[in-house]
Amino acid sequence: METAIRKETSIKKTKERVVRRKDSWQLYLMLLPAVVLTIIFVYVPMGGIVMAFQEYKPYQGILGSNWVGLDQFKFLFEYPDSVQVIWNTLRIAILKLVFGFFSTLTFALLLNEVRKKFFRSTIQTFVFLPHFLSWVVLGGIFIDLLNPDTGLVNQLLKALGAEPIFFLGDNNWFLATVVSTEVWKEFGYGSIIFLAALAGINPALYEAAQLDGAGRWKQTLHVTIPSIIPTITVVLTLSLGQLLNAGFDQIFNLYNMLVYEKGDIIDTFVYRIGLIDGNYSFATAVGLFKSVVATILIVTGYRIAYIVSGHKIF
Amino acid sequence: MQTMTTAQRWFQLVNNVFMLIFALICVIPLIHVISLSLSSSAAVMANEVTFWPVGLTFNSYEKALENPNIVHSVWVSVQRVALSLAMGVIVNCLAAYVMSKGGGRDGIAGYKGFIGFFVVAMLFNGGMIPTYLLVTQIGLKNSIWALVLPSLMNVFYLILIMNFFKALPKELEEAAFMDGANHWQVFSRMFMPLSLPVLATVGMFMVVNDWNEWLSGTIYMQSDNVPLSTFLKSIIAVPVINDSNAEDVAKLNNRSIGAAQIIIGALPILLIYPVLQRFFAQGIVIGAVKE
Repeated sequence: METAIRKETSIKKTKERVVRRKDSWQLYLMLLPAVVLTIIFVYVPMGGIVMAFQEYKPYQGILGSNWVGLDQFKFLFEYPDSVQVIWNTLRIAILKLVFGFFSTLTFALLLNEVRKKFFRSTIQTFVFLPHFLSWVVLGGIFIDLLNPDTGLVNQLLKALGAEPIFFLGDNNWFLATVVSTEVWKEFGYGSIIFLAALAGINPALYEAAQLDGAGRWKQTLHVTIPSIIPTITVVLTLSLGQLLNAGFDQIFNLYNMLVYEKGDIIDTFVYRIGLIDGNYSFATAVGLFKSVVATILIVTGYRIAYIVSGHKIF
Repeated sequence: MQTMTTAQRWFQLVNNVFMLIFALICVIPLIHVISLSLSSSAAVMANEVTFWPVGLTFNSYEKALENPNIVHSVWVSVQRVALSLAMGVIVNCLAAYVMSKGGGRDGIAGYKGFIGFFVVAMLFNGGMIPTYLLVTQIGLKNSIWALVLPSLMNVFYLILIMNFFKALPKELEEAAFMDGANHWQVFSRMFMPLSLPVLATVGMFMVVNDWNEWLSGTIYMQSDNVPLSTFLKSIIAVPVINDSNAEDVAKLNNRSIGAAQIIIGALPILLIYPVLQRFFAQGIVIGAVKE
């Protein structure tokens, strides 16, 4: 009896101390490449952020450049161009989120109603395709398609008796063009997450609703939608982190000087003033402003998603 | 099996037509550009081409491939994708194995710390300019490694693979450990072969992303040594033929050459797409559904 108790306490002790396997050194070795790469390409550049508080000159380096405190940030909020760019970014990102969310959800709900499996998977094959093509390729396609003289869309407009529209060169149209082409590219692929949720709904719920006399529409309203509310919540809260992400790849491949007024966003602005004009410090400051706000938004989104529906990333 | 009412049958019909329209809208732009690239110059100039080649010809492709830079850029892209895929799968899987083991007896000390380390790396980074300066300063400029190394480690892939590893039956590895296997053996002989579905998914993510990515080619590489995506970005909308060359004008026009260039850029993705989409439909779900 006594020995048994002693044994038990000794087991407890080893649990507290955690004796690891003898070969656990292998684990550290296995983790090493990932850690080294992350340090070099993520953490070291984070150190470069100090440039945002300097007047960085390449020949002086980070250690030799003059410190200017928050001057770059002051400039950021006083310079009309950068204020405009922040508004553009927000406007484009919010429109993309709203239209993207509704089109994706609607498509998922409608596709879910399709009975024939073969037909359904064929549709999916078609609508997923644009997601995998790069904006370089799609940029080329849309520049041709939306050309005011020869583009297919404008030829259609002309045939209908309307005036041709310079979609990519007119500030009044650029925003709509960017939002609709993004929705076009992503609505199909984005529906995967909803389709997975829809596939997971217990069929017994529908049977019960049918017995209660609910038609398809009532079933959608009272079974389908409530069942995927958790997924919807997670998708919506996580998209909070995208509020300052207007889509660098897309804008960069579609915009031109004619539409800077409405189409220039933080990322394209950083690229131009930093890598083209060589104004490293100001560009870093603008980029830092974006990263800090975005990180706060992402963390908030994850917190809310976790509190509301227990969603965890790690 | 319930029978459908008339209203339901109508809904099914209308809905199917609707879905068909959605599907067509997604591929019509691509079909139009393919048709342009394969049509005769005269038909393209006369705006006769819509969704089918008119006067089938490969002249535009021949002209596009005459440029030696495009051939070299394909080679750069192939090298980049091969290196990223091989090294990326290894690095991410190794890390995922370790992180799937937690901080207990079978795991590592400082597990929580490593989670924080990766999560911070996922949420925050130095931004475009500091990353550019780092890559330049460590001498990677105009080297294939500038296109491979910075994006090799990806926390999103790590989590995807880790969740898959965690879902493997615990009994399997316990039995292996009992038989005297060590971590490396369990990883390489058990976990990797069992994880082919998730490896295929992550591998496809890598191939697509690395093939499509163009910005690092623009900022790190000299213009005669860029991947295809970057090369395309630089030549799209730049005229290839000169109006003064009468022979060229009769056979070619810039619009269909541009279309041919676009299709050359999209071709690898289009070719692997049938396999791609099947894996994705499964793979995403594997990653998204925990437990």
